[in-house]
Amino acid sequence: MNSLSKILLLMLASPVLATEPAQFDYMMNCQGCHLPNGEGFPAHQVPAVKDHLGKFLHVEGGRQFLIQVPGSAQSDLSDEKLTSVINWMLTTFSPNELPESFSPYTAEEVGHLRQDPLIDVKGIRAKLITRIERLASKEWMQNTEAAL
Amino acid sequence: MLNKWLDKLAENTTRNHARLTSRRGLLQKLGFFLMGISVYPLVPVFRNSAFAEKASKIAEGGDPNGCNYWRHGAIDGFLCGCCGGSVTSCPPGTVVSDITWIGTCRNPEDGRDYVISYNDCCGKSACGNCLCQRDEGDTPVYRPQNSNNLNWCSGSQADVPYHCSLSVVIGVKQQATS
Repeated sequence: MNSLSKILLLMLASPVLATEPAQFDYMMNCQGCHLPNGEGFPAHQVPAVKDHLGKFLHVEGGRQFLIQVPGSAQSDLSDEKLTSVINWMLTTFSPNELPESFSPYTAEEVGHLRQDPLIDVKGIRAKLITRIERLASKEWMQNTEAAL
Repeated sequence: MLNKWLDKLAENTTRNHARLTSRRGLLQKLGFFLMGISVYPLVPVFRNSAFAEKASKIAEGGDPNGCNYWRHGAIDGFLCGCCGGSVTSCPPGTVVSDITWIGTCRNPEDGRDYVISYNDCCGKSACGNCLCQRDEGDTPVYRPQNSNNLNWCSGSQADVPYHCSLSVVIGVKQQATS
């Protein structure tokens, strides 16, 4: 039997394809509010993940924040599952914002970070966003200077 | 001179117009238009791309408008199928809330766990038909991540008025490898 007919047979044997495990965990724990494409609902205070998530990894404290934020730290997911969900979200929803030196989270790191939850979530988030904006404007200035 | 010219212009335009249009044309067009607006909301078209579900390969059994239907494991509200919609589409005149409660239900036909999204349909007052409250997997509101006792319509364009609930299949759990 050649491989093509094996694949066909497999497809017939399992009529419904399973959802990828990290995406399944995203669906069960995050998607209800952050929506299937991660665009969130900023008008109703659900932050957009899409095209934003990776920006946090550029500034000091951002890498920790993504795990310490209540939606991550207090989810029902185990450390291993939370790790694969956050790595899946970063590479799926925000690949263009990832720093070149991006190294995926490890379960050990995640387990350690979520032991230390945030008290002032909004305040810290605002501070990180200011840092991100400052970094973006600095880069823009540098780029313009280089262009001149 | 000018008056005469204006008279001529008005007369010619009117005559031309009369020659080119039928006297009943306006009535006909107006009729189509009025009929069209009243019928448009009843056209059974797919109005939202929010749903991942395709005309499915899923093995189905049971009555979608009964509370015991397999997809309604965590339902808490009126079934849209009894309100002019279906188990996956909102009734005319309502909009689907994007923000939603998600859980899994086991399909007795194939024994697999499916990811179900319980989107609410919003914009009209409560439907009142087929009230189901199975609440499997629901947690108290102090664990909001898994509590279904919220008005999900506050996450829709129509905001608060809740009409009925859908049970949409959005994924399938991977089976434990044996």
